[in-house]
Amino acid sequence: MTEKHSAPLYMMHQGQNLTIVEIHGGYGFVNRMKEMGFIPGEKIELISSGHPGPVMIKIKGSKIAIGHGMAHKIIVI
Amino acid sequence: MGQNNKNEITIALAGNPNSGKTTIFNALTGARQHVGNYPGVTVEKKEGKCNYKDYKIKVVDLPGTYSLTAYSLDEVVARKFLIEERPDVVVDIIDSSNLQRNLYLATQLAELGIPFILCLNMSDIAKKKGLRLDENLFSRLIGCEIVFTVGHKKEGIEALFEKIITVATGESKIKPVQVNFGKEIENELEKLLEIIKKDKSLTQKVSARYISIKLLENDKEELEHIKGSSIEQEAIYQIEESTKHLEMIFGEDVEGRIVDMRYGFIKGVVKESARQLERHKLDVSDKIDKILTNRILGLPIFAFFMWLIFKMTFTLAEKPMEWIESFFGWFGELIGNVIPEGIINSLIVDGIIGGVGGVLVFLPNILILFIAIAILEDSGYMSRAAFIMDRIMHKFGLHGKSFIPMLIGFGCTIPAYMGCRILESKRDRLVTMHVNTFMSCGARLPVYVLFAGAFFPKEAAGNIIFIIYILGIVIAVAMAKIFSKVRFRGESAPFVMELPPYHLPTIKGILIHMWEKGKLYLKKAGTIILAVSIIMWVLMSFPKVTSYSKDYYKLINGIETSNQIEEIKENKIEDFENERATEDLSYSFAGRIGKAIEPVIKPLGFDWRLGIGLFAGFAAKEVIVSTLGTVYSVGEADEESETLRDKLRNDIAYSPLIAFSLMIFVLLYFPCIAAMVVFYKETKSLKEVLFQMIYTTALAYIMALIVYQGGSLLGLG
Repeated sequence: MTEKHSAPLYMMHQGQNLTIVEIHGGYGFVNRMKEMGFIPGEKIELISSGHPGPVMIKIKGSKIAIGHGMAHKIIVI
Repeated sequence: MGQNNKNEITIALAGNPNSGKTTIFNALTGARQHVGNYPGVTVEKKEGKCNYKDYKIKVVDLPGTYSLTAYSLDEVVARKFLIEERPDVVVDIIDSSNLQRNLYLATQLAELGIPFILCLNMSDIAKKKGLRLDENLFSRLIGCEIVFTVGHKKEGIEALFEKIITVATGESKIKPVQVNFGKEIENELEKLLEIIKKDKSLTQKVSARYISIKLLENDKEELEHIKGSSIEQEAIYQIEESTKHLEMIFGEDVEGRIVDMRYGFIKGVVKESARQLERHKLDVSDKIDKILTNRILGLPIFAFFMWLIFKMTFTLAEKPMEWIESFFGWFGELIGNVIPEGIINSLIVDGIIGGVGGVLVFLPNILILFIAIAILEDSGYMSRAAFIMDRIMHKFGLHGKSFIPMLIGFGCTIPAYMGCRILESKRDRLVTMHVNTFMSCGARLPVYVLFAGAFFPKEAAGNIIFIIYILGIVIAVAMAKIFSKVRFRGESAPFVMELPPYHLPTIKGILIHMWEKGKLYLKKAGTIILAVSIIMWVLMSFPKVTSYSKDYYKLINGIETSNQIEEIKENKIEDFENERATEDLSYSFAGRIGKAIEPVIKPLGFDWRLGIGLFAGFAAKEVIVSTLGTVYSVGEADEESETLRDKLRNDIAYSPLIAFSLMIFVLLYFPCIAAMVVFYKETKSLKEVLFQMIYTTALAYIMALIVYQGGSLLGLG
């Protein structure tokens, strides 16, 4: 059995259910994301993966589009 | 603050973006609202008034925010208003199907110590999705009154009014609840609290606890607030100590921990009082998104929608345009017959009816375009368009969100400039504003419709216009790339945007949007365009020629009395009259201006008459059409009321190539004066405004030159 590894959001496949592990980036950015509901431990669903391009995810019931650059900074498992 | 027997109440509406704030605002206030700006900043402030029972209620709509951190301009504005103005009640509007994330703002309102009500909006959708809520328990746990509403159906508005009165008069029995941040943080807060309390001037408007929390969160605005107070040194020292201590314990920054604790509290409340039943069906929005934002299909579908809009704008408007055209023709003739021949007659018939009527003919096109934009906005597709376009926009140094103001730009550049506020970084905003004008605005449409209609077959005209629009987009994107390489270097801000669920737009909503914008167009026709029409008429009618190169009167008389065939006679007379009219026009001020710029625009294929139109177009783009209308009716000999379109088509000086070159020039050159005023208001930079004026006109010249000269070489002339 292969154990799940955490990886940046942009590497994940469409339709996967994921959990946020951590968010990299500056102090302001990380807390901003947290205020929007991106908290470690939170479950998200990857609706549309975008490489390249933005990803679309579902978190706490709402759909959010995230730029490609930011999808690098969100680590999920 | 809320006191007994007070019958004037101020309430503020707060809430996340897309929580349905606007529908609640409209339901509360009806149509009685007024839009202004918050003092000192350019964020729109909507205010409305309403009466309920004996109470006069003032409703202030705050910008949509996720929290009260001073992160973006909107949040700073919302927070300042709450603190400085102290509304009696804050109504926090919550998207019920999205409880947890929406409640975050509520925890901050509680910290602020301001009385608030939770308005659980869109409760019908939440219920359908399987949300069951124990109302009383929820209300007690979160520590405020709650109301269920369905904004667009006006459900629950009565109950909301009742709760507002209850809270404002201080009769609510529900005790406010504060988030407990855990022993460690609470201990540190306690220490800070003691220090803050020493300076009474600090806690006049907000509670000491709120200040302490914000300070521990390292909040810039609040640090500014305590600056200069008697306890500044002591407080700063304590903040540093507390932060160091807490970070050692948690191994993460305090601010993040505080956010976590707030969410922890919310999670607890929701878990206790709400139950989420299994969903019966797959979310419809998700299904639609699977297709519309599909990685392969998304872009072609989007392009198809755009094409459809322009096709419809052209074809559906055909009939109503004919009606308006013939109405003004009839009206002009009627007036022309009533008022005796002379200057007044010419002013009214040629100047005013010819000018304003020429512009009003395009009202159907404009309205259809605005309907289309309103549908895109109200349905939720607009944000998807931004999502689809982000990948492409990013490549060209723009932000995904840039696409929203750019789409609005198809309607009018002015709201598009203002729409650029949604962009968080100044760089993104400037780049988007500088290229926004190439998103061809509704005012330019009449020019295209006129020239495409006159010089291209009916079936091709719609496609020609579509090509012009596409060209505008291509140039906008190319210029953005150049700007981000040359003038505005640096990364654009990260892209995060909420995609609201799809809504079926209501006909009423669409019509309201359409009418709001259509009204502006009519107002413009009645003011700026009317004024410019009169000015242009004056410029075209004076000075009068005192001695003609030929004695036309004698010549015409001579023909009339000769004994040639009637038909030949008429033709000859017409030729002379046209010649005289042209001489009149070229002798006038406008004619001289046109002649003066003719050498410059000759290489683009334009003659001095088009020059007059383009000159007038600086004021507003529709004026190009109205001015040409006046040019042709002042310079008109026969009384037969040919339409302007036919007149242009029959004029041998022009060709389809010239028409195309002109459309390109009009697409690109100088946005109108009103737009430039707004550009200045938004950027506060004269340098940027001048830059915008000059580079757009220069670009227009170069592009039209390439098209005309290139086309002529290829023999397309």
